[in-house]
This record gives sequence, C-alpha cells and structure tokens, in this order.
Amino acid sequence: MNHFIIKLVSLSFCLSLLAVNAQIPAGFKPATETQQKEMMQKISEVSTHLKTLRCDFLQKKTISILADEMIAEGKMFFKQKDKLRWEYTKPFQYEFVMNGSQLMTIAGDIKNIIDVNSNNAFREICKIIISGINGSGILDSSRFSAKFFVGTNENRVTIVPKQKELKQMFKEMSICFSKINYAVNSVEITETNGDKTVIEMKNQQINKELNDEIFSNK
Amino acid sequence: MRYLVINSIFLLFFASCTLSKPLVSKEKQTPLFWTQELRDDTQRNDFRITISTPTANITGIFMVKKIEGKWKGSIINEFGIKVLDFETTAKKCKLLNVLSFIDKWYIKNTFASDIQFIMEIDNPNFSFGSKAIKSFTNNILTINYKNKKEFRRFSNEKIEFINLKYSLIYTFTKIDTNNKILTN
Repeated sequence: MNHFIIKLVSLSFCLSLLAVNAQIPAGFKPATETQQKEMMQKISEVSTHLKTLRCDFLQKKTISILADEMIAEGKMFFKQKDKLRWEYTKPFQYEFVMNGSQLMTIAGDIKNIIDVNSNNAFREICKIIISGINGSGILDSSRFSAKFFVGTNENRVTIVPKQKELKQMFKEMSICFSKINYAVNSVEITETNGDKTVIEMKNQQINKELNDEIFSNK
Repeated sequence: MRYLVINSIFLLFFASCTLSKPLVSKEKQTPLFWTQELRDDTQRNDFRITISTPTANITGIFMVKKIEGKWKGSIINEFGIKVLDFETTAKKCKLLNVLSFIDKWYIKNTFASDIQFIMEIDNPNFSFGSKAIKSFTNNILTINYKNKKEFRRFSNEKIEFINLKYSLIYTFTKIDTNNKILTN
C-alpha cells in the first residue's frame, strides 16, 4: 500500500512538472527576478521614448476548424500617444485608424466612425493594440498578470487579461521584444479555443517624422 | 374556315398552357447557385463579408472549405478575432467557438439558419432549397424562400443573402485563391 502511494505521488509530481514546462515557450526560459525587473524597466523606457513607429507587418492566423491558416500583410503607423493607422493591403484592403478618442474603420465602401470613450470594449481593444506596439500598459497589474521569459535574441512577455471584455476576446497575448533596442518584433494572440494570430513587425522605422494627415478620418 | 377557327382555338389553348406552366419547370432549367468559380469544392474559399443590419454594418472575412462531406467555415474580423466557426450539412448547422458578445440563443439560431441556407442551397437533400423559387433575370440568379429569405448571385465574385424577416443583408465578395482581392 505504501509502495503504491509513493508511486502515485511520484507520478503526480512528474505530471505537474511536465505541465509547468509545457507553459514555457520553446527557445525561452523563465526570467529571474533580476532579469524581470530589468525587462520591466526597459519596456517602460522604450514606451516612453517611442514617439513614432512605421513598419510593415505580416499576420498569420490559424483556423483550426479548417486545418489551415490565413495570411495577411499591411502597414502600420503609430504616433504617440494615441494615433494609430493599421492598414491591411493584401489579400484584402482594410483600414483601422485611431486618432485620440475617434476610431474609424474602412472596409471597401463601408466606413464606421466610433467614439471610443462611449464604448468600453473598443476602448480596451485600442489600449491593447497600443500595448502590442510599444509595450505600454502590459505592466499594469490591475489589467493583466504577466510572465517574463528570456531568449537568445529576444525577450518575451506573456500577459493574461483580468478584465471581462478582454477575457472574452483572447486567452493570452505574448509580445517578443528585441534584446538590442526593445522594439516589438512580434505579437502572438491566443484565443480561448486555442487558435493563434501571430503578427510580425518588419522594416521598422523608429522616431521618424510622421504627418498627422495619415491619422485623419477623412 | 371552320377548321381554321378550331385550329386557332387549339393553338391559343396550348399557348396559354405554356404561359401558365408552373415555375417548377423554370427551376429545373436554372443553374446551381454556387458555381465552381465562386465556391470550389477542392480548396478553401475566402470572401469579404459585410453583414448589414438596420443600425450597423459589420465587416469581416468568411472562409469555407468542404471537409469530409461537410461545409466547414469560420467568420473572423479583419484583425483575426474569431466571430464563430460553423459546420453545415443538409440536416443541420452547428455553430462553434462563438464570440461571447453574440453567444445568445436568438442570435445563434438566426445565424445558424442563415448560414445553413447559404451553404446548402444546392444540396438536393436540403428541404428548404427544394421549396425555394429560382429565377434568372438580367444575369442575376435569385432564389426566394417564402419571402423569408432571398439569395442573389450577381456574378462569380459577388453574392448577397437577405434575411427578410430580420432585415439582415449578408454581402459576400470573393477573395481569389492567389490572395488578391477581386472587387471592392
């Protein structure tokens, strides 16, 4: 009987170790407390000093029911603190333009203009998008719980939402930062059913001049 | 003269029979709604979708593929946020992984019914399809089900489905297999 209990406890311990290791992304290891503090400081500094960002992006979305993935490309423009233009160019054209409290989406002939202040869900979506671009807000412990990981060329922060509106939309979001300049290299969003969207930022131009006209809703 | 009159009467009689021929025979002559160019059985088909309600227009991407005899698909918004997944057969439409904002029984019932009609309209085992009336005018194929649902094919790139009861209009614009949008 004792022998059986010992075996059962050992097996449970091994299984729990496996479960913990499964949460660590491949190519990364958990950050130590010192590394975590350093990462938080760097993220905070970069988000403060990032005035403008312009880049291309590649978006890959898994569609598990079709055993397939959808790929889209586009351009992104960001100007501190709340101006964003997210423009899909292939395989469809779609624009998402944020300018302060105004949000505009353009899909072909259909243009929608939304006052972000009047819609809690949209307000949170906009904050999340900005977080994905410059890392700001992810360290807000009232909104997210965060885990920090260290890799060879990148560091990674995985955040899990605490607020209901965001929990309904995704399970967790992981942001990978370049170890050189802490620019966001990629964002991975995992949905509640396990499907993932990965957005890679390429050809980044940081703190170059950006005309406000880009964020106009006309 | 008598025979001319009698023949004329017969001719008129048969001509009127032709004019009042049931629409059913026209249905048999009209083509299937989904052409191979519009929806290919052998690969994934992507569409731009707009759902118009009396108060709003919602846009997204509608992807569908035939897998093991079922049409399986997903509706996502342009950012990749999942709205819902679905599987349809002639008997049933199952919705899966529905976004919580629309996870209400009355919304899901409407979507399931509409998506099944859209996907299974050409399936001979789909009972609603056989009761629908098809007509083909000015190169537009229209299918009307008891003035509750109407489906129109404008071209091999654009189709429109209307739920007349709830004033919902679904517009689909094909995105080609080489990932280039065909029309705006």
